[in-house]
Amino acid sequence: MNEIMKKQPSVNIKFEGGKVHIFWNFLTAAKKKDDGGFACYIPAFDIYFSATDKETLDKKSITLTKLYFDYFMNEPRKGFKNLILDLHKLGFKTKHDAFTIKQLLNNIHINSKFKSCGEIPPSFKDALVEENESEMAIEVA
Amino acid sequence: MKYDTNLFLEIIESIPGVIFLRSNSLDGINIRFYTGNTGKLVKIDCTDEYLYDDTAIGYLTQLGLDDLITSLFPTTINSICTENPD
Repeated sequence: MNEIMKKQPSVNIKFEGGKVHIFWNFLTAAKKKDDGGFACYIPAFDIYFSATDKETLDKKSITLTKLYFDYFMNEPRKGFKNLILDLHKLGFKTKHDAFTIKQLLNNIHINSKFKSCGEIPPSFKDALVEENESEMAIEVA
Repeated sequence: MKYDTNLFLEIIESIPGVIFLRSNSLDGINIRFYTGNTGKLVKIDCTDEYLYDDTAIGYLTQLGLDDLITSLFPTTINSICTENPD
């Protein structure tokens, strides 16, 4: 059983210099398979993936979450709003959640930090669990 | 056990209610985005030729295709039931 304390998954949004900066940290759970590969899961972002080795596991952890954010942020009109809604659907919450969500959905640029419980599911209870983080910055309209 | 990625994608894309939204790639990692019967945004890693059963079952659950899990992965489901008889 993994009793080690891990950082709570979070998404930090900052508006600065005409850009929105997004920083995120999360946990990746990985079950070792008989052939040396890994069946993996990122609870906070609800992403499953397979990896042939540890190096691929680490690379995919970061890259798949980047691609998740990219899915929304490169959508010209409603991308950022849809991202906020999807993060909320995934279980990310912020202090004064209703107020913050309303502000962001109304294009009012307030810096926010969302946190998720991101629990490891029972099917991954004996898995290797590692922390990861990444960031991106995109110009806002 | 592993499952052929392209075959898996062909199967799910043939199911009514599963909608392919977009694909993208970064640093050699390929992803396809779908929605299914659960309303969730499902992110499928299609980088490799094969997926582990666990991964494929995860995707089917996210898409709301639980019936397909039993059809495609009867051995895996039976071993899970044996481990967790409740």
